[in-house]
Amino acid sequence: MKILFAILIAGSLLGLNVWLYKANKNTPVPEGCENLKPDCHGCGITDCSLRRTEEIREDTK
Amino acid sequence: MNLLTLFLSALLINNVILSKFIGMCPFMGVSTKLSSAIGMGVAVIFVIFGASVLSWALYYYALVPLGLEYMKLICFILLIAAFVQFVEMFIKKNSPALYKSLGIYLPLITTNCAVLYVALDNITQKYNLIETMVNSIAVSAGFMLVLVIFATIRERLAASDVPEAWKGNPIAFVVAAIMAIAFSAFAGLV
Amino acid sequence: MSTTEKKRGFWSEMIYNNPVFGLYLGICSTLAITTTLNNAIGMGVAVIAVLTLSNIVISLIAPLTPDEIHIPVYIVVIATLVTVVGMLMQAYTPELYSTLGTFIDLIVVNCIILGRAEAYASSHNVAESARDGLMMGLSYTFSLIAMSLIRQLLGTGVLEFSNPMNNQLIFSVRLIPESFVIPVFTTQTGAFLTFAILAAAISAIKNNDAKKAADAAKARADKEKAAAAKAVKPAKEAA
Repeated sequence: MKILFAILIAGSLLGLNVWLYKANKNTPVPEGCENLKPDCHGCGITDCSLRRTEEIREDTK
Repeated sequence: MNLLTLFLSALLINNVILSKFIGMCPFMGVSTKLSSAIGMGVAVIFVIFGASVLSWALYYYALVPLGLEYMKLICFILLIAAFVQFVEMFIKKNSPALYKSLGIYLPLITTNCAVLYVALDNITQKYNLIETMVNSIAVSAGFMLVLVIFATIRERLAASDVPEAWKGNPIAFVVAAIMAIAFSAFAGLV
Repeated sequence: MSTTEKKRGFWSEMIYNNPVFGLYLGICSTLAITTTLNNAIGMGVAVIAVLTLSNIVISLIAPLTPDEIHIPVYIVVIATLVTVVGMLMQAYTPELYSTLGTFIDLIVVNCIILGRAEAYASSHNVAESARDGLMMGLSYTFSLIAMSLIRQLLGTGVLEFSNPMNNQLIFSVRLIPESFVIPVFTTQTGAFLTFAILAAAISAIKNNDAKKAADAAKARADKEKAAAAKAVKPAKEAA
């Protein structure tokens, strides 16, 4: 019984996430903000959606 | 009085960055410009406050009654991710000005360890709802305080002549070390 | 991984692709738990386990995951693995678990795990992903050990390691007399300073290699120029 609730809670949270991620992606960025990028140079994750690989190479060189 | 003690100790004495080393990625990453540091700081305060209260409610009203305390890690991180997405969507729809200054930092916050740390810390310390609110505001305000001070120093640092190997992050860590010495003086405050 | 990276040896891969001092991933736990060698090795092993397993699982499920929701799915996988590893540590190494505390839970948001999942495991097969997880985990562990060796040695003068299962001391040597230790290295300040020094050392090695490569290229160009000039000279003399 307990395990059912565990799966139910985790599943509903995951469902909520899936819905919000999709909804957020479909919400257009307000006008004038299309090319705004946060100025972050923290880590070297080359796949970070906020940064381009070349830029990271420059930073961590 | 107790709440004031809690606030000051979380803000200054046990500062989340300089004493607990949590949230180092944005501390190093978003501190090269003062304006980004302020934007990031305010976004972090808002997300930490919201996510902590929601996690607290989820833990005490759903996980504890069902005996599922071991699920807290999975539930909290999902809740934080969902909350960040929701806030980003809400800001996008309703306030372009706010999106410009805060919204663009929100994607960086999902994997900010400070958010998960505060949510878990409120549970381990057995705080009630009021203490949870005070603690989460104090921790995130401490984060913003140190981030802003650090950004002002780094803006000056960018104009100074640093040895080749120390350029960028290494010299920033030396600055952080000196800031940690300064903040250790708060230890006797409370 | 490109072929030039494959040619490099094990140690130079550790230096060039070092996730901590080279790419600045997972700094939080590196600074916080490296006060003793025990903590460093315990944390390192936990991260190796989570990273290898998460890379394997994610490389298996990546083709089935729609692109726009891959982050929450990866987060669930990682959080589940961390919960399992945390429970195992609580059962078998309770002392270590209580000293590492929340930092075991915070492996979930350690940038190395999600970073490798996105950058590598999602686009490679199981064997390659497992190898990558193991290598990244190992170089993370080596960084932790380097930090903790410096901090423990300079801060307390004693190097010791005990069995995390039953807390029996395996070895303990005093290398620096008690009156010469620098206690600041066990504090937060020492953590930042040690990190700064190691990061600067890595960047100095990289700069040096880049300079050597540039010098070699320049020398080759000069040689070619001289050879060309030599070839011209006798022709002139003959004339």
